[in-house]
Amino acid sequence: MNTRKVPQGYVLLKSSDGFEFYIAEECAKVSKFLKTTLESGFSEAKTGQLNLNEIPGHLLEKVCEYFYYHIMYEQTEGNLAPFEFPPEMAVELLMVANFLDT
Amino acid sequence: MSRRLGSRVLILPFKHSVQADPKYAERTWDSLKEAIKEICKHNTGVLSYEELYRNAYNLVLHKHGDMLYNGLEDCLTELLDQVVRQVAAHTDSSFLEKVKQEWEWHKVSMIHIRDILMYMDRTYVAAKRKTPVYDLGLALFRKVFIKSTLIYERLVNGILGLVELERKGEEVNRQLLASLITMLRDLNGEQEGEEIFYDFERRLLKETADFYYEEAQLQLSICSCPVYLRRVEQRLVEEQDRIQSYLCVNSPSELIKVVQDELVTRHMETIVDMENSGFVHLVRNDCTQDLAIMYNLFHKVQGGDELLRSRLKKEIHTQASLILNDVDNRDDPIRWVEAVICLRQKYMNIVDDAFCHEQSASRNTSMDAWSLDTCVDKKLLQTVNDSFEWFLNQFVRTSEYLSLYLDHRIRTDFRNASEAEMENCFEQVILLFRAVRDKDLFERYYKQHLAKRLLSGRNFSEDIERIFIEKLKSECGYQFTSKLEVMFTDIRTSAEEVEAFRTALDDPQSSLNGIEFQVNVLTTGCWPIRNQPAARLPLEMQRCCQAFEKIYFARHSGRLLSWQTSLGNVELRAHFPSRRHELQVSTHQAIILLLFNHHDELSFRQIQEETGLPQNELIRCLKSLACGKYRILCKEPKGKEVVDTDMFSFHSKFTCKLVRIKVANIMAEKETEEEKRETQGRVDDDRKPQIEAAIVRIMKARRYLDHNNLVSEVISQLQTHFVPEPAEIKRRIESLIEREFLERDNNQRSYRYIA
Repeated sequence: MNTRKVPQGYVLLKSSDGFEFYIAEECAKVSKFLKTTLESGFSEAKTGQLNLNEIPGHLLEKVCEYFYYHIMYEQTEGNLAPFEFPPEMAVELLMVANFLDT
Repeated sequence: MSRRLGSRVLILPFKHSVQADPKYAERTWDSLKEAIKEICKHNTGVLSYEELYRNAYNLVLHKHGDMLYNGLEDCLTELLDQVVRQVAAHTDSSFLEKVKQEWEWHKVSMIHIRDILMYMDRTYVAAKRKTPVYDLGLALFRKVFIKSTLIYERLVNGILGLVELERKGEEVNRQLLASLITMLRDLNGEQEGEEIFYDFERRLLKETADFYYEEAQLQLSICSCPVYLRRVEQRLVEEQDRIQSYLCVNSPSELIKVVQDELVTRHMETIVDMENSGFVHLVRNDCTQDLAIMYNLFHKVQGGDELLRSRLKKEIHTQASLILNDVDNRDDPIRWVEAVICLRQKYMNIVDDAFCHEQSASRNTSMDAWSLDTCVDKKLLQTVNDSFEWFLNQFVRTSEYLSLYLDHRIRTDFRNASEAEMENCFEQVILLFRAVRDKDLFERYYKQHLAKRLLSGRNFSEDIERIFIEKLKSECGYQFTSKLEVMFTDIRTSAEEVEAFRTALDDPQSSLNGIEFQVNVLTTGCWPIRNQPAARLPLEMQRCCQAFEKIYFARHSGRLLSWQTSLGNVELRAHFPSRRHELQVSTHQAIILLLFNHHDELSFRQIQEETGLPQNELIRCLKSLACGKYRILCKEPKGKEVVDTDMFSFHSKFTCKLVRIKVANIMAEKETEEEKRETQGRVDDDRKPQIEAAIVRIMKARRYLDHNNLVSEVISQLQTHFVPEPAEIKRRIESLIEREFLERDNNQRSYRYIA
């Protein structure tokens, strides 16, 4: 496994097809799966790198967008700007969400 | 054939297409199993969470949940079995430590396992209603590890052993105990056989009871009461501390109760009745601190209060009968009352200082400050009051003595006393008075003594008297003191009357023969005066009286004056051969002395004839003149007692340094038995109309009432004045029936009011 140094406060998510995403730890923890991963005593918690072998790059990108969207509007009440994604991605995204427990 | 299904739409998880390999499930499970074993060996760091999670996820997704769940259960059981053997091999010294360590490791491992099986918890476990992974881990730890025959007994006995060691005063590892006991509590299951913590608690309570049973046996045989009490208090504090720091039992109060039961409740009587250091000893020696400890301990246990109350009552009764049976006290009202006040004060102090329990009052705004109020034990206070009430009413002369004591203090002590001192004295008397049942009897005596003070004119301060009367008023109501108020008014109007009389006389000097004449006009019925026949007054005095009557009747028509010579005072100027003296004497004494202006020697009989005084009164007067401190008359034959054959003559050789001499009237301060009976009789007579009035009042309001209720109502109405005898009430009712105020109902037990 590639052991690159991940900056403090960030995590590195790798998609099944090799795309890499650095996102803020805070945002990653929107997913219960990622949260547990980062807080448990397993190897990922030490390196801050996660291989997500289930998720291809285009989905992971959308997922990361959603994390940020979620954090941004977490405290807001009332009408939110809708989170947009292409309809053909919907089923795949649902599956990923089930996996990530988001 | 079509069956209508409910309108529920089922969304099935998307099916992955990875299931090409039929051996996939077994392989995945094997890898997971290996990982779990690694986790239990604390090698979590080398495992990839994502991989394990993904594997578990896929297994569940492909309907291998059962396999995963059961596999996990078997795997954990197997692992724990190994742990049991390892731990059992440890010696006693490190055994408990090891158990604690395994427990903590197990908890950490289970968290990790739960994390990787998170998806199973969310879906499979929830759907099949199984125990969640973490709880399953705990249940297995209990079932396989703790309940193992190799572990359980050793563990519980080990913990109890350490607790006992600490109770014996040795240092133990409290942290270890705390974590082990918490472990047992966390592992307590709800089904039978799983309630290991309840089992542990039961055994702890039993151990505790045994330990303190021994302790009590030992300490009671060697300690005095205060030492034992302090020890118990210390023990309770220790136990409380133990509960706070590690014995985190479900019902700490139960544990404390066991300690209290063993140390206090079982031995209450032994402790209280310890010779030379028990309750009585502590009370007699005013050991309020020790008593406070005793009270605090006893107050918390059942029956403790009652025991203390009964002992306190007994002790007061003992002390009271000492006072009652002390001959010196019995005959000296002042000493008697002082002794009683003193005794009461003593018990009051003890109750105030020792018998207080803490009462948590309302919580203050700041979280840390609990305001603790101490509150005197009302029931114990009541006991003291009740005992004194019993005691005061036991002694027939209480009312008389109280009044005499008051009289004594007012006449002698208060001239130089501070206001506070006086106030205090009044307060004490009122407190005792409150307990006296026959308040009307006290009133009678008080009135008698007050009358004497008012009429003597000396040592009389209206302010002081009024303070006390105010107190009586607030105690018994307006009615009680109204007649007393009249007495004060009489004295004041009399002064005005005399003033008017003086100005009305043309020539006061000559018409009164140079006598400075002073009269007090007293309202009949308001003064406690026995209507005695007036003594025969010398001519000079008679003329004064006539002059006064003439002017008084002119001012107030339709009144009747009857002269009460027995209450007056006279100031005489007497010329003795040595020098001139001024004599302060009573009117009756003056009459006797004035006889010797015309005679040198007179016999008892002659004096009696001349003055018309009753024998008793005459003897008393002559005694004070011939046998007292200043002997103005000579008696033949000499002696202390006056009998009716004695001869009296003017004592011409009388000498005294003082110009003014006050001849003390020998008065029976205390009533004789005969007088006492008379007073009692008069009080009884006074009560009759009061009881009748009460009956009529009640019946007028109720119209119809049965006997028992009527009697109890009458008693409650009259209680502020006296406690009437039921037999007397019955007689009054009968008398009222005869006079047709009431009639009997058909059933003999009820009465009807006749308008």
